[in-house]
Amino acid sequence: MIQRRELVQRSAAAAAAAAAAQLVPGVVFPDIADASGLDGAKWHKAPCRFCGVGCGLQIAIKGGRAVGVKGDPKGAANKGLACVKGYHSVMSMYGRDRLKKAKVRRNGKMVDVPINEALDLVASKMRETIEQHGKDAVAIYGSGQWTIPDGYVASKFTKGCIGTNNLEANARLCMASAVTGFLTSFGMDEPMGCYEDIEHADVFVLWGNNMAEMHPVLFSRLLERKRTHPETVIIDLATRTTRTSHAADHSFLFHPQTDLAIANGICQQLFENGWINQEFVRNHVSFKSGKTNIGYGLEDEFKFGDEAQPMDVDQYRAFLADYTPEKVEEVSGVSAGHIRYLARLFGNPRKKVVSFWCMGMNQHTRGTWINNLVYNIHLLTGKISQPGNGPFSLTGQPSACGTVREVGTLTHKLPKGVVMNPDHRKFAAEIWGVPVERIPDKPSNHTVDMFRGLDRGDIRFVWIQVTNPMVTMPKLNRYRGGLEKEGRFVVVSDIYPTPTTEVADVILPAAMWIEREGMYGNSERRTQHFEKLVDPPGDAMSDTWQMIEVARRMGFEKEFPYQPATHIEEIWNEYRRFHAGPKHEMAPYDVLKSRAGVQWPFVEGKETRWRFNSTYDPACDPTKPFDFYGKPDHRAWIWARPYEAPPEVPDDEYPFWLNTGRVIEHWHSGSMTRRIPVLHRAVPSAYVEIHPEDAASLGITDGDRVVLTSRRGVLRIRASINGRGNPTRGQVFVPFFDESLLVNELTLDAYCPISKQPDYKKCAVRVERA
Amino acid sequence: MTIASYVAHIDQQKTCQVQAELDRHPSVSCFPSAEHNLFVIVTDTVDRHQDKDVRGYLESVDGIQCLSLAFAWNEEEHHDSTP
Repeated sequence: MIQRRELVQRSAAAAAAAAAAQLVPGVVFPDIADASGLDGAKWHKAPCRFCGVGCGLQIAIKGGRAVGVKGDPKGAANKGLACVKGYHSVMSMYGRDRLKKAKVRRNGKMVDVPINEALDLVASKMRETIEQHGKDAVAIYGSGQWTIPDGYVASKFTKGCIGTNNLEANARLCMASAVTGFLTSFGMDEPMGCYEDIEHADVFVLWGNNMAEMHPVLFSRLLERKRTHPETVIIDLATRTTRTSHAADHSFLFHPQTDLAIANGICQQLFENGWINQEFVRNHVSFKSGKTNIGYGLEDEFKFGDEAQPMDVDQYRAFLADYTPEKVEEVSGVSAGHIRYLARLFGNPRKKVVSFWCMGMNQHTRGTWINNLVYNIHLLTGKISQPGNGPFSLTGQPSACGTVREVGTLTHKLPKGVVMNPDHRKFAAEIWGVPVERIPDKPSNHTVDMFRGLDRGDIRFVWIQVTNPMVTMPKLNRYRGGLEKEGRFVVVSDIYPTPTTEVADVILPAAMWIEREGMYGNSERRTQHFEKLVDPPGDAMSDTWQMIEVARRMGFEKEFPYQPATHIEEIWNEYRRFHAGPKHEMAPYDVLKSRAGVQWPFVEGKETRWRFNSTYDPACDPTKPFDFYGKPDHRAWIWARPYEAPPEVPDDEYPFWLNTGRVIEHWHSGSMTRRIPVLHRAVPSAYVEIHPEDAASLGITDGDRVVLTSRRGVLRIRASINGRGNPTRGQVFVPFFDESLLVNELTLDAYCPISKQPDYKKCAVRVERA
Repeated sequence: MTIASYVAHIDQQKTCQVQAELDRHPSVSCFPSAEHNLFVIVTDTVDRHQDKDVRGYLESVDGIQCLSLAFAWNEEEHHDSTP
């Protein structure tokens, strides 16, 4: 037993060593290891679970507990670094109120029950709901923090066994627009490049991406590139000044939603100045247009369909005529000179350019469009699919790519392909050993529709795993009210009590992260395996095994024959069959186990770092330098997409934009990181950032209580002025991690009609001193 | 109890001299890096006043070129409010 004083001393030494590692990657302090009290601990690899970068960690296990963390020098994403969440990650397993027993609601109160009794109840309620209301009355809502096996068994259970496409994941809220952007432009999902692009690029353009806080380890690689190559340029395109802005060479602040106009303005200038890569465009690109004025999904059961219309380069150029730098300045607030400067950076044939983005572009009522438009810039200049040149959408969650995009835990998806395609359904049915007729041929409810369906009563049963929608859904009052209605049955698998467990009828205690075996897939197509390193507490059970137990109770023993000791390997081997072939081949289980991570396509023992480039990608036609084989014409598609305003803009009654997001210390809804004392103390509660001049005109000073009011709700919250971030005038920002200050009671459930991803970055509010 | 830690850049020519100097101070522990001129320095003092004195001492040590605070703990100021 170490003394308290010694523990603090060790923490102090470890914190300084971690800080030093940020300055000098790989620096080692040999004596600190001895002073850490970890003698005799065994170190094991595991990916961090607190963002989509996929940092490799080394976890120290001693006496059956995780007692230490360090960055894994073998981690391809982080090269030995970690951020403040990563270094404290293991503490998230040891909160005082960890859920250890299953609970069921009896006479309005949650009472502990044996786990098998709870699983019996879940299965019987699911069966009863199907018998009374049909298959589409049950739904499963999962997560980009699901492991790949979690998502796989959920997909097989829902689509292949029950026969409903009511399967969604919270990644719909964070990267669906990136998916539809990739699919519409390239016919295949996920980035063509990799993090190694950072070490080759001359220019980084960050589109609405506070990378310094949201992807800090990756951002440190950008800074290291700049330190070693001082001519490197970092551009921050944003609606709010952040830590990223301060580290950038230039920060251009634009009015919300007008990134659409800025991207088109850059393309207009590329043509105007003859900076188009003519050979690349001639050989590898097609031009398309689609519908405009496409709506915002505000009404229940909103439907949208579109079909690409061909256009030629002259028609596309004529479309861009509306986006001269002067016109873009009027719309966006970014000066015409800066638009020309951005175009010059992209248009310079001697400069390699990487674009990064995340929620700023994806949580956007035209999220698919703005993804298309950034691809347009890279395609027009041929700066794509090469080391140091490429558009790169970052993900927020550890397995948004691996589990949601690759396994396909969305209503329209299958592990390979989509439910609408008969060949894809047939393929899935063969691997799953189920009748093909059982897999419905139409998508049912995307996430917002799923919660609307629960409110209306179309859906009566929902099982929520590894996510906290009663903090994270937009327009929260409506959807919380829906779950609380009579006749709804809500099952929640989680590790701590949350606002979502508060509305549950059954709570299943879950095994977290390294308390079970699994795999995550990060932003750069890298699959990372981790072992079970410690036992879960009490009756806690992995989400994978919970789903298997319920599926078996519903009569699907044959479809879920896996053994407890080997089920992850068995599931991986089955899942891997979906992706056979050079376009998406996954690494064998043994290879995954032996390495810190493996990028797909993994073909003949080699990872593919740059897709669609025949030098690197074995799926390409080797006679061509580039082959965008995801599209039937083997070309990438450039889309004419206009600027369109969002549905709710500030007016006399609600004169401010409301923007929401995260802080570096907290993960999503805070249910884990707020139980890590050092992180909780660093940022104990949410706040509203207000521009100092707006605050002065409203008589608000730093720390004052203010009232934010939107058309949907009211929030009383402390003001932060000249704090960490600084919104532009007329805009306020609130982080969403704090379950006691629910900013999503104010937000709007408008979404991109193509991706169905809600826009958490723009709605209108009133700001008053309390 | 006031405990703090620092990352210190040390003059390449004076690492041994600085380490010897710091090792003599009863409130200071020094952890040199393996291949770089970086030290982690941990200070353990009775209260804030003594902490301030030790900080002043560190700033005066010949060969410490840059001193960055990484961690600070004052027993009286920390209450566990974790949910």
